[in-house]
Amino acid sequence: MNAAPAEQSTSRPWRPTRALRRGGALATVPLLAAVLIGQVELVLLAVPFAVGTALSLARRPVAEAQPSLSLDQPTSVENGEVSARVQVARGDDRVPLLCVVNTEVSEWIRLRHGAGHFASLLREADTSTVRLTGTAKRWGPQRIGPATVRLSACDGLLVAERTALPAAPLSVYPLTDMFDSEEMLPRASGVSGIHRSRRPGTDGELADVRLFQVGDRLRRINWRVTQRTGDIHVNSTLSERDADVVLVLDSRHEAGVSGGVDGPDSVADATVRAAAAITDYYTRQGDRVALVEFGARLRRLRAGTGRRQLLAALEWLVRLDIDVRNVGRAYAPGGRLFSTVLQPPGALVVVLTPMLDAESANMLAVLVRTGRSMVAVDTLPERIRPAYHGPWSPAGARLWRLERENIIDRLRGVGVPVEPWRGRGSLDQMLRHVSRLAVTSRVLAR
Amino acid sequence: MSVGDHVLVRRFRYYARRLDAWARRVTPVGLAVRAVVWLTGVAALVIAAAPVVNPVGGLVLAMVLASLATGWPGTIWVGLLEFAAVAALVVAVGQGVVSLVEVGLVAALLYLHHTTAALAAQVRTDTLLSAAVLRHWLARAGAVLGVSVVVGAGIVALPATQTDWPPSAYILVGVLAATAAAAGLAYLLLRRPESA
Repeated sequence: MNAAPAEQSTSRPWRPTRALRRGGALATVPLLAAVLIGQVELVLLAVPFAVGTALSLARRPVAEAQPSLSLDQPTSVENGEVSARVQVARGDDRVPLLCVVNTEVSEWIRLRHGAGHFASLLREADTSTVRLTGTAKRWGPQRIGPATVRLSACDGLLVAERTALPAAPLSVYPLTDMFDSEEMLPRASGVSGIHRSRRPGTDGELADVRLFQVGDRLRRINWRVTQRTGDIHVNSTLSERDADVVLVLDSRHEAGVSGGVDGPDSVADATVRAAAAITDYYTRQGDRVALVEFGARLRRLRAGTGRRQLLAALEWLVRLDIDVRNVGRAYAPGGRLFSTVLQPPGALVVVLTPMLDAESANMLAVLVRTGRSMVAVDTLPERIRPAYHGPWSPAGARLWRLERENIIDRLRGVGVPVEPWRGRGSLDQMLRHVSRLAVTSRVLAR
Repeated sequence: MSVGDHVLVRRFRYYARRLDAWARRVTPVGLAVRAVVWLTGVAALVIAAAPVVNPVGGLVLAMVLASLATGWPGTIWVGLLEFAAVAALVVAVGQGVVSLVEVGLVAALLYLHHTTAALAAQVRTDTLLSAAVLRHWLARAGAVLGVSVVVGAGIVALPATQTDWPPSAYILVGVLAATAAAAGLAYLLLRRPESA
């Protein structure tokens, strides 16, 4: 799929360079000198300049060239290929053009030939292409460009005005690995799916063996128990339903310095990659996943399932904006306002938070008190260090960590399972917590 | 105020950082193009000026002019070097202290200097050049020099076959040739190109 070309700028006519004037002068001055002093040898000086200039000008560009910058694909993933092209449209012209492209790119795009000037020869008629390929190193809204294109023809004797091309936006999705787990969700709902619900049904997992009742099908009779007890017993199974999952992303704080996909994580990296992995897992299972931003914007992606929802979620995640300037005074939406976006009430709530202030802990405590099934994923990277260094920094950092661990322990005490995110392997541990919630809710239901 | 805070030291550090940044960006091919500009410029001027000026002075002048032309290939310095070489050669030919082969060699070197400078004016030292650009440039320079050898041989051989011409005829032919060359180039430049 070709992305639409970026906004086009106007073309410019060709104009002679200093080299053309120099070549013309050196093709005639030695001839005049040869005539004036009567030495034919001096004609030799003029010959290559006259021949070279004549050969170069023999084929001049016919049409005005119109460069444009476009992406081959408007999306990519971390460590994925990024490919853009500068296309020069010039009608039926086949005159070779020297095309010098100077491209700027986002911090996290690594072009194969490096950012900067790249020169290539354009020979084809109609539309010639200069390809720019590279790798995306971090999720987020990235760009290739703006770029400047300078075209020269006739071996540098004619040149077109430098053309500025606007940047082409590129969405780089966070990397998600394939993941599989057998853990079940606490509150399966809906009419179909793969999770065991609390309601009896057919063809699901074995829940109980009970006495035969009127209406039970004969094929559900458990003959072994019937023979042993003397009464007719049947197998009782639970129906299989899908589930609602709401991911809450605490976007109020950023900490740490991102090193891209191959380097250390910041809070935003951990949050987005964890959300992408969890969304990938549940949408693949057929569950409905919604995403909510716990921050000033309170953005929400409505629930959906399947690959389409995964792509929508990835695009939503790319736009996650964590303002590093608001650390310590970030806005937290009130409990009532926040609860309105956590729909449906029976959904499993997975909160991704670095827990850097009391508001995050309060939000978790309020949610668990309202009776929601929830899991907190701690997205503060392990090796994070304070931004300022001084003689008291190590002691201060240690105190802050102790205080934070204390808060987490208190949250666990009130029933909030907190699991630190340590890469994609953490998902299994998180799902184990989810599974425990499922068992707990079944026990409570009985 | 420490020595490190002195304005000259800060200025020196600033240029050192710029030089370091340039050294990180520069590409071998970009440097090679500039090296060709420098070498052909020095060689052409030294060979042309050697018979008429002090060799050491000629060499220094050649290196200075060639360095300026290499550093700024899109400016007047390239033309200055080439016209200095032509002027020196005109004087040397007038004095009869230079051979035909040397004139041909200077002509070839000057043309290479001219065409490489035209390329260098379009690409920076940190520009990554595709191989097709260099192949095209080499092929074209080779073709121009090959055609020039044939044309030049014919021009040099012409007076030897027509020894009975009066001197005024040579002057007329020369003026006509110069005018034709200038007019031909002007026509090629100014004509309205037709569709391919």
